[in-house]
Amino acid sequence: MNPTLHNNVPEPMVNSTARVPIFARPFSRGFEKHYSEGDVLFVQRGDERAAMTKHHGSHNVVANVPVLNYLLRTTKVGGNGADKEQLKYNSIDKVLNAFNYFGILNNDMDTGSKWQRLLNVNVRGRSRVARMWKPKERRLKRGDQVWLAFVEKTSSKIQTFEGPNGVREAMADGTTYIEVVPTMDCCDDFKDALYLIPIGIVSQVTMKTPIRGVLNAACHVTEKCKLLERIEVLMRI
Amino acid sequence: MYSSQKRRRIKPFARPTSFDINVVFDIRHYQHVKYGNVISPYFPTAGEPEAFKVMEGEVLMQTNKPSVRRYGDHQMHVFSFANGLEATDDRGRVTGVLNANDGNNPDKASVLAGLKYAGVAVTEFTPEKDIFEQGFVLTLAGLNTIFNNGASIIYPGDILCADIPRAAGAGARKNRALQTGIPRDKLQFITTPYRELKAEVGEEIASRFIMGTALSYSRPGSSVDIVLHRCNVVCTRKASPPAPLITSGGGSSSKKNPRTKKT
Repeated sequence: MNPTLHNNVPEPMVNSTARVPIFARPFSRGFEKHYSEGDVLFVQRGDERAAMTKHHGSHNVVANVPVLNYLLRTTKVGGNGADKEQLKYNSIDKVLNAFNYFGILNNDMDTGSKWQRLLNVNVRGRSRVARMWKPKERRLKRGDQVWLAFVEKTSSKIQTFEGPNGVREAMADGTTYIEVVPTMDCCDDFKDALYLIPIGIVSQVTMKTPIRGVLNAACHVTEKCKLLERIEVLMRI
Repeated sequence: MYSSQKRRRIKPFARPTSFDINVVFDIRHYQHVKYGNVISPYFPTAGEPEAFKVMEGEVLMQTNKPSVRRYGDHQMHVFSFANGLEATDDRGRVTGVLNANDGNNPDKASVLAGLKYAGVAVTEFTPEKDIFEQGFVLTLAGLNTIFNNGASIIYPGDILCADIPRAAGAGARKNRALQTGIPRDKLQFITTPYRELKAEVGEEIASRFIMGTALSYSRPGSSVDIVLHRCNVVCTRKASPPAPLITSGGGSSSKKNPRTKKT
């Protein structure tokens, strides 16, 4: 027997998702070309080219976690004459003034252009995201809240780091830098964090637990982040 | 003379994932301001009745004055004009005489202490014409496009707060963008990035006025896409380090709870 009461709405009433398009400006090394579904995206602030005008659309510098870590670790100022060369983002205030968390990449809206990418980004509701999180002692489960933390690190010796495209670059001994790491409230990084961004609440999890080394590598190399399994989170609810 | 594009608030998104509720106009506050019962207001009152009208896309606020409690109903009573506001304490009692027009940049925290952010208007309401009991619609969450009538450039990803207009000296401009079609006397509530409001009034008050997260670049006077979300997670660290732990949802001065969920 058919129900007598109907509720017609233009969208599903449960777990609906809001998405917005954003134009990503190209990096000289083409980092943005390798962004994939489930990447957590940040947008650079203070960029006037983000304005929509009559002559050009809004273009933003968009970075996923490996690219943001690369920018935080390698962008330098000074070094010409009197000034000593130092990292541009050497304090959390400078990082927060330069980058904003935006959302999670859903899909590419314009596959025809090789110069720029028009990304469709989840900003609210249900979203698939790379499984970058691992609790300290147990398995990831539904209802867990996942975060991104800005933590301060110091290189103990001459270290090499893989960049977003897998190329290794060296960092001098004793350099203090800020890194974005996935964390949960049971992890050490959560307690040491300079700043925490809530990403969402886990609603679907895969069975296989990733190993710690893979998760660490996924924070630096885009391709390794792409290989992680995807879970589902509810964002900004 | 005017292009239709300039006069209209273009909404590129059809408010997906929105959460809407019915609210009613705060008619006691309206009568209090309109009929001159405010002795020494922070902002001047408005002469024309149109200034008290609620328009689509305006930021709505509530007061916690005793007059609101006298409604004796379970409705949310809201308004969209900052004219005639007074400085009050957290219990809604008028604390003293402040006047934004004296140019001394008085502390606006005491004015914000008497307000509560409510949401964004979806439908309009004319107090002298429309039916009070019927009310109008307010949206709390979801994608929306509103007018950046503040004085700040908004960048994608900025957390936005509802705010009162900036104080200005007598005869000086109010340092805000005027929206086409709104009477010049009307002082709308404005949008200000969280980081700026926090610097002015502190974390605790600023985090009470968080509206959502901006999704587009916007200069004052243009529209801004926003994802409205009232639920923000706020953390404070109990341990000794001097800098409090901050999250994107704002901060809190609460020392009893290590983690507090604010709604």
